[in-house]
Amino acid sequence: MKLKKYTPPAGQLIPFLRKIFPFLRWWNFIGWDTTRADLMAGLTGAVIVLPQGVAFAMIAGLPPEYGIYTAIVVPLVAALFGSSLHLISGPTTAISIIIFSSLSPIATPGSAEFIQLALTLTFLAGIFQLSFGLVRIGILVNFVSHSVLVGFTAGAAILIATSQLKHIFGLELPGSGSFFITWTNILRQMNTLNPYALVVAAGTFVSAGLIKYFKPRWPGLLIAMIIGSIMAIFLGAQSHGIRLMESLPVHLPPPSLPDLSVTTLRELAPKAFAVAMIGLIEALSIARSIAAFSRQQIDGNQEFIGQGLSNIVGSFFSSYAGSGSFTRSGINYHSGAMTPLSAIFSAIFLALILLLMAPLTVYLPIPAMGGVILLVAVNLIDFKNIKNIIRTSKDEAAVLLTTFFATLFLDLEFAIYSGVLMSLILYLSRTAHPEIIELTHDPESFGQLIDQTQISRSFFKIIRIDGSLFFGAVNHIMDFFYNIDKNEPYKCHLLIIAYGVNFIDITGAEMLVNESRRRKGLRGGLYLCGLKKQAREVLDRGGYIEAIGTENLFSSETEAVAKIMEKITSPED
Amino acid sequence: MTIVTISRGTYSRGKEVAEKLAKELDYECLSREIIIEASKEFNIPEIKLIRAIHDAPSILDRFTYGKERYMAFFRAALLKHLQRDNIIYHGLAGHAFLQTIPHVIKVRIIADLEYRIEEEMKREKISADQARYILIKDDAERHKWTMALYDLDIWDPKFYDMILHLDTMDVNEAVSIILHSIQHTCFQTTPQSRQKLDDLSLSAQVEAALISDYPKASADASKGNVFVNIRGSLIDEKDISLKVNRIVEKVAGVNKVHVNIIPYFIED
Repeated sequence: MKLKKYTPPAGQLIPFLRKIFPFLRWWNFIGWDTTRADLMAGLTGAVIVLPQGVAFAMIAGLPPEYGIYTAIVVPLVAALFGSSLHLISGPTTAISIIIFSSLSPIATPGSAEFIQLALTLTFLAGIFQLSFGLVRIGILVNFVSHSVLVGFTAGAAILIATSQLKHIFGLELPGSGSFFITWTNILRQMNTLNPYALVVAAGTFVSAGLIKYFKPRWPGLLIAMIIGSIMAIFLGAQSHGIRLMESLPVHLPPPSLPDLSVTTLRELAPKAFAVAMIGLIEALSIARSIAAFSRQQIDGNQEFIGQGLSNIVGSFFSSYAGSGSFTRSGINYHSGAMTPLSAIFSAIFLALILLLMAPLTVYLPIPAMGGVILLVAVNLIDFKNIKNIIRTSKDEAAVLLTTFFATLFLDLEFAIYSGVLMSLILYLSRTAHPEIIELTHDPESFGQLIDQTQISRSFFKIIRIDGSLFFGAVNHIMDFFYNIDKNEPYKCHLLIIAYGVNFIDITGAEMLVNESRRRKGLRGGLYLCGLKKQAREVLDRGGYIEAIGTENLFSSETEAVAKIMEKITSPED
Repeated sequence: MTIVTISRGTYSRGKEVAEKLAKELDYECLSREIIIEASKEFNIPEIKLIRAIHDAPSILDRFTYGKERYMAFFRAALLKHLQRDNIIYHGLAGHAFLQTIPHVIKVRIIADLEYRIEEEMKREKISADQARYILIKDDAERHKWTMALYDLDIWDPKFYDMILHLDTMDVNEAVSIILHSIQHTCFQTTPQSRQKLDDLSLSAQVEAALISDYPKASADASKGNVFVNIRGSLIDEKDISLKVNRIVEKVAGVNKVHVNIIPYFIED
């Protein structure tokens, strides 16, 4: 009888669909409890993003409603197709600044041409981001270490808090993205502080803090903002200079079409690349920062795809380039959001607010918003982790502090670059200095590393190398070899215990051969013991074993010591 | 000293087998009595419990967890009762709840559909088409029910220790086969299997206690130490732990409570 070819059971469809539609991966986690939590977080997020959207659009040189449109469309698509469960995408300060600086030299900010270019830039940035995700270079995110993230989060939290101080104190400050200049301006203008604004901000801050402490399940931030609004009305907001939100146009994001002419695309491509890269670094760093709290595993490639798609779709619905927002993601997570539905609810609520309650937004005091954002910023600083890192490792502490100060004093993306660079330098420095341990025998046990005789002590040196023998480490190891010659010139026989050598490259192999030749010239020898399969294969393939001598390779210390001792005590010539 | 669960379709004579077996062994025979017990203990209407046990969960149930709530109460009542040992249980979900208990013989009784149709026609005085429709619908509903709530296929033989086809044997022969099997040591109650059942029952009591506040809570007990998994945001970890401890400490038999928060669940 002919056997039928085995075919795996059907049932591959769902995993396949989950790959294409990542929201199916968390769909089964949804229940009434998660939906309730997400609804609350979404509602809070919608109220928070309203003034931010307006402000960021203005920074980008676009009419205010474009910020709101971006806050509706971009987070919705990014939530469905991204990896993070808590990341809230939409308009951000960094991207808004880059859009303004990229496009203002070629079009008048706020003009129809400027809007069209911004949408095209968004579309192109989305294409770049989507491509990065599809070719799976999300691995880049692995180079952003935990210490970098903790430092970046703390720095960004202070930047966010700083940006809100003018609203909290009711100051009129000139626009500046610089941490130092902002603080200088704040301190200079403290004499113009508006006590009413401060009272509203402080009342909102304290209310939010108290609700968080005593009733953590309540939508504290939202309630605090309502309290702030009531306080502003009670204090007579307008008569005392408390700034309120402006009224918004009442309609949903209208369809739009980016300019897809070759000339425009060619002109905007380099600018779009920068927007794409910064957007991705921002989104991934924030996603990973939040994941450090939520313990979620972030899939960098999926996040790239989510960000790319959100910008591509957004460009067809009057939205400009967005990325992950630190403030809103923090608020989202701290409001108890459990799934990306919170981002979707937030977008829906924002659309509803825009349609139904736009005129009411004029009662929302800006200082109350500042108070709420200040609390979120304080909560973003992971004091426990910072303390732990500083106490545990000097290197990691250096990475953390570098990133932290770079975040405060450099551009956000450079802060991440500097942290990553510092981490890599420290890592390379560590690997380029493999630990070399000098061994001696155990006189109590027979056949161990070396025989305790005067002759052996004179001529025999044993070391263990823990690390890879690669081009970066060769100098350090050679220095050690020369130091043996310098300090113990009679020790011409050198046994390397190589259990800890995981990798040998050609430079490392050449070094071993040269050292072997050199030691033979000194009437000694170089011996290797316990080489791992991978390392031995490299030496074998390159003919290095032959050069060192197969008789000088041993599988155990006992065998090595016995043979070397025999050689020392009864030399051939 | 053992427990027998009999899973059966409507009119497949499983009830007769169960009753006869109980009589032969002088064991307690249980079915709907558990519903009454659960209804009394947890103060819920009997009809709601019956519906929850019989009908497969709807889309709305997924969000309201209504079915899970009633099933938690039912499971707690059943497992508590089964701790008495020497019981024949012929109702829904017995095999689903007791998969891990070695001294429980899980029996599936099946009968030919045509025979079942005849039986139903006789008893209910309905036409063959009506009877066929009702039986097929009933079987499908039960299948859907166990799949939806416990991801178990009632027609999958691996969940049973034996499957008896009542077309090829009569009730007496089926009873005789089960009686013979009961004698084997692998189905005898041991201190370890007894402890397993006690642990399972305690987990069920804890889940029933938590179900109103945490509908997706799952508990795992071991000699009075209870490990509780709760879905929730890590932001609320402290409050959830306090609340769970407060609720679970009141359950009889609990010595220590460990709370683990499940902040998310991602399927590949």
